[in-house]
Amino acid sequence: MPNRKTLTEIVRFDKPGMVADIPGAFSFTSSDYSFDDKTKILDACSMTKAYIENNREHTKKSADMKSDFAVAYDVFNSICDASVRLREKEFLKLFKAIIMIEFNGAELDTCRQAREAISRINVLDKSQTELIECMDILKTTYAPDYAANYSSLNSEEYSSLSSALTNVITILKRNNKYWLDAISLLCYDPEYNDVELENKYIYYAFTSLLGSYSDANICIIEPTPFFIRKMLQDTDLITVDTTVVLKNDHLANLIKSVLDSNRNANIRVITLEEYFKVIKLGPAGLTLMFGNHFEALDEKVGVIEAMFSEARDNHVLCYLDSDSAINMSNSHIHDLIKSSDIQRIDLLPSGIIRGTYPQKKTYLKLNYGDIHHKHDIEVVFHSLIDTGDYQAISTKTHSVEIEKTVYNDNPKCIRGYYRDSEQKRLKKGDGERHIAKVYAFSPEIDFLYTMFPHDDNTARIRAYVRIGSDLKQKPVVIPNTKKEKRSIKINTITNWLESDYPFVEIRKKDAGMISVRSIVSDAIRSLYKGRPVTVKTLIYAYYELEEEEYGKNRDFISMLSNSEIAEFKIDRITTNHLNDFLLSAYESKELCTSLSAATGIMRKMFDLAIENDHCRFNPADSLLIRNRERFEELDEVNYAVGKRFLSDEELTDIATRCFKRVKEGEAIYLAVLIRLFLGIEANIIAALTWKDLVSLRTDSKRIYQFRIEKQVGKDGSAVVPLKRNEQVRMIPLPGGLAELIMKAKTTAESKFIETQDDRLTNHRILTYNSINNNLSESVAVVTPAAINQLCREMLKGLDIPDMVVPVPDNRFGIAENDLGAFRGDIYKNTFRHYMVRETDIGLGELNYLLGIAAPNVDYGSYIGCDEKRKQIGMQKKIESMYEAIVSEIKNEQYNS
Amino acid sequence: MNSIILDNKFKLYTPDNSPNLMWAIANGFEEINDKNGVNESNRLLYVSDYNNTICPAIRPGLAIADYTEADIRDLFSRIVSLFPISEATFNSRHRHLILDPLEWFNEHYVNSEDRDWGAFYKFDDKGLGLDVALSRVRRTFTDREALILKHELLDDMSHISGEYVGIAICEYAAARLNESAGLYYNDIYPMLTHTKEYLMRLGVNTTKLHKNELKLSGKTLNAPRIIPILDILRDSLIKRMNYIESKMQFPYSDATGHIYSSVLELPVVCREDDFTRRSGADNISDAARELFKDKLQINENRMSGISELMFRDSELFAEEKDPTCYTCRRDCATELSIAFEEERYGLAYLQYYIGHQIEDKRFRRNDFTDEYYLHKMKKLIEKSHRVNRL
Repeated sequence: MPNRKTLTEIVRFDKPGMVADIPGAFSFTSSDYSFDDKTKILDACSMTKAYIENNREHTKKSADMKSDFAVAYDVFNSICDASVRLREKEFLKLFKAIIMIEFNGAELDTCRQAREAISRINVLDKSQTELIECMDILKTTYAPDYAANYSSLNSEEYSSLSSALTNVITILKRNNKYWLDAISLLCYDPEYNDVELENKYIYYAFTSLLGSYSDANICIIEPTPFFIRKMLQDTDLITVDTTVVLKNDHLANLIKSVLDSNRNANIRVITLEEYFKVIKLGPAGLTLMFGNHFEALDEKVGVIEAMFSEARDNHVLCYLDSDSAINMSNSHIHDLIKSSDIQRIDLLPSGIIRGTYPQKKTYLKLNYGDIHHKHDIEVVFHSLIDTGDYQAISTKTHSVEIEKTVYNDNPKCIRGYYRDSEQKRLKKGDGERHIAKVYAFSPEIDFLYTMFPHDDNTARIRAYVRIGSDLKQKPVVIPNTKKEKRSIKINTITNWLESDYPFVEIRKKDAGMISVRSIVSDAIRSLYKGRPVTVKTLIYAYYELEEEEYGKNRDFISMLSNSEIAEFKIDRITTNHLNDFLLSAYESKELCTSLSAATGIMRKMFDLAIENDHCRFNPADSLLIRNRERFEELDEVNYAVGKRFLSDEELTDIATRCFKRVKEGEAIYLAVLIRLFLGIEANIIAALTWKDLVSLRTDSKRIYQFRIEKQVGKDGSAVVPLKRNEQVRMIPLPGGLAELIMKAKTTAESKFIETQDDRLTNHRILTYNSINNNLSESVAVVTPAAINQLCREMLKGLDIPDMVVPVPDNRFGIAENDLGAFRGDIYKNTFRHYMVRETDIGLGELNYLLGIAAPNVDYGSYIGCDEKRKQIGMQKKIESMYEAIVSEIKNEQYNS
Repeated sequence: MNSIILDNKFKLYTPDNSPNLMWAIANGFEEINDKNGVNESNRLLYVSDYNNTICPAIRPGLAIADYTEADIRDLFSRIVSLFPISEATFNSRHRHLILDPLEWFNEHYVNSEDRDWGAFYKFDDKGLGLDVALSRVRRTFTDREALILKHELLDDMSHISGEYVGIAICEYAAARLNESAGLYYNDIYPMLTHTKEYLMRLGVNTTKLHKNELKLSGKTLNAPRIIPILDILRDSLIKRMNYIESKMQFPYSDATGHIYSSVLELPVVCREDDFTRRSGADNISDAARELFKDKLQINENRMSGISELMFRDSELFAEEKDPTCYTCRRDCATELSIAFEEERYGLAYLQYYIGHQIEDKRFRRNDFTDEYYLHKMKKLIEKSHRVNRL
């Protein structure tokens, strides 16, 4: 088979008959050649034909081409039927040829066949790139004619085209380049002719709006194509959580496929009924509504209701088109706003955007009288045509002043003019977009009414105000009717509110069903609606709810209320603030409550704040949870990196306490000192007798040693030899420690009466009756468990984490052939650490002192009589380590 | 449709319909050989090589556009282990049979030139023999390069992109790529005893391979470590923190809805200017490669030599995996070894600092939570480190 190039040349110049008669070519090829070859030939034929026809202008619209096209289409169709898998480029060329032929020669009637051809694309299961090219061809050749003649299509044609395009779009899931055009073809709404206007305004509106949101619920009742297109094109809606609500099934599928192509968007296509369920669960922050069908109005109203009732973050973006604004009465919307907790509404008056009803000006009229009870509602008008006047509503604004005039003789409705900071009145053409912040402040008294339903049963509400620590009860009787309510002097209540420690205690006489918690939270919620909520208010709320806990932890709470944080707004408090406060409180040592209890209180307090929508997250919680989780997860890491010895301060602390006790006469504390400075285990210490205390030198510079060759069982009575013979060793004592032990010996000698059978040297060094030797040995025995307990008690005040303390650690259950075996024994570890740090001890000596049978240690070489020099060398090292620690103690004592 | 060169059993496309290495072999074969002037008999030899030894070892599911150095190394080792080929023949013939189609593909279909900059197979021994040439490759930075690095990384850390911070931590604190990517600002804190000196808690969190997700702990229990950092690094990190604080308002919630209450909860090594988004190890090494190429103007052959050296030293390869990180860490380790040279436990200090196993049995890793050691270490490093002299 020749190349494609040569093939086309052959077909064009040598076999023009094949080009003229494509079905003939097909039959010709079907007899002799394989499929691949056939497609190549067909490709060549169609290409040459297209090429020729394209270049020949006078034949472009000749009637002959119609039949040619029909033939080509037949070829194509037959290929499709045979489901031949054409190679990419061949297929494309063929397709292109067919389309070209069609549009060069045919009129609109034959487009139907082309449409069917496109609908066959799905059968072929092509890759994306080809289909994109297909769409490109379609776009360039097909669309302009089609759009112009759209209205002439009947419903069948419409549906066939739509199904064709949906086929394409479902395949083009990942590429969002051309589907927009497809939709614009499909969903073009012939009802409106002012396409440009619509484009422009919707473009401005939604790009500017959507730029500032990260989450959105998009509710599409009936998709208007330009909306979708411009919106999605010009804003990167990648992280948008969209919910599509549609009536028609095929449209639903279409939109779904379109939105699937957005990479990270979560799309759910649901019916309207389901939407109400979803909106409660989903991350609704923003709800967009568009659509303009009269039929859907009832549904639209339902959606709006759901939107208002379930809006998260107290924020609604509402696009109400003219129809719904007219038909859905303003009062209904006012009721909706009234019953919800929304703090900000973005309004897009549709009449402006659409531009079709410039004279009607169907703005949503929000009257002061209707929304004034909302304390901090912020209504933002987005306007694209500078009309110069608004039916805005306000009493106060922060940034923009509004000149009030009475509108339509209705005193409740106020027309406002915008003024900028220089008091210049804005005129037409000053800008394309004005945003007015309109605040409606209600009289503070209203909170009492919003709390309770206006039933006849709740006849009277009595309010008490507590100021500071003094209880100043000021009963206020608030009657039920509106007129009487107004008559109460507002000043009195505002005075209470402005005092430092406001708290309102409310008792309701007749209706007793409301729990205390809800009353208090409601009270606080309504009381502080319009003003910053500080930590102090939280404290008072907490006091009412958890009186018992408050009583227990009074010191902490008083410290909190006197601290700097108390004045902070709740929104602005971070974990760092709390952390700093806790640390400072803990360091001041006036705090009796434990840290965990204190943090627990703070967590509860901020939970209360979250319940009442004062802050979005719990700073105390994030602080604690992180630590808590990490503590469990990081067990392994801590195991490697955590501190497993006593620091300098801790060591001196324990040593001074022990020295003091020993000097006072409690000789049992010697056990702690021996463990600390010699690293000997409790089992061995308990078994030491006076006989084991040997002096190395006989001259005046005496050096004492412990001979270690036996240990004690768990009960402390039975003395057994060590597990291995190699562990028998001599451990030299530092001078200071030896002095203390010798002192204990002299006191023991002074009280002990030696007989021939019973000598002091046979007795243990550590007994409970070292001072009063009246008891028999069996009672006076010190068990290793007791020594361990004593050692643990010494650690108690040092704030060492629990996981470090257990003695010893048998986590791996391996033989103790390495220093790593004693990870858990903090005393032994401390000895090892300071020996390495303060002296230049070798590994062999260290293993010997710790009693570890390492392969490179020959114990015999340290014990023998000839090895005195080694013993003395070791003693010097231990001495220097001992003195490095004890000198600090002496310094401290000297300084104090 | 298969070509004449390969058997029909080999698939030219991945399941996603993108070409794999065998596609490049089949399509580029003639062009490559025409270019090199290979005669007929040799071509037949190559075809048999492809069919019998090379293509059976190629993974058909891996698209050619996704090939990394590690994949090529994998392929090499697989061929050597599967078939009895001597090293000489492998180096002279098979190596080229694999690399040539790759180069051909890069020439024709990939636009970026950086794709294989400093790849190990580009190393040119210049007629010296591979071993001799490799022994002459300089593995640490020169003074000039160190000066440029200091200028690029530390002079104005608040405005550089996040990946550069990661490079700085690799260069001046000997962190691995994954470890530096896993850092929070929370992990940089002052000592208790010497409050002006700062510590860095490395290796508690690290990132997963080729991703920016966190996982716990490093490669072994040796990895987690608390190390003192240089004053110059501390200053610039603090500057960056202050800059971020001035830029963002806390509590800050990002696009995913996660709320950060302070700077300390942010990742240190972020993606470019997005302070909340963590960058993975790959991003850092890409940035480092760019930096080495454009700013330091390191010879490409030298970089190729370093990665070839890493490939040869199998232990190192298992640990570092990236020549950029390797050079930074090696540079730092050289400085450290000079600093600790005359110290009594210098080797243990060094091994602790760079996160290797401590061979001195007297020490354990947790001994270094004692700030006595850390302070000592810090003083020694500060005294001898090159950055302070440049």
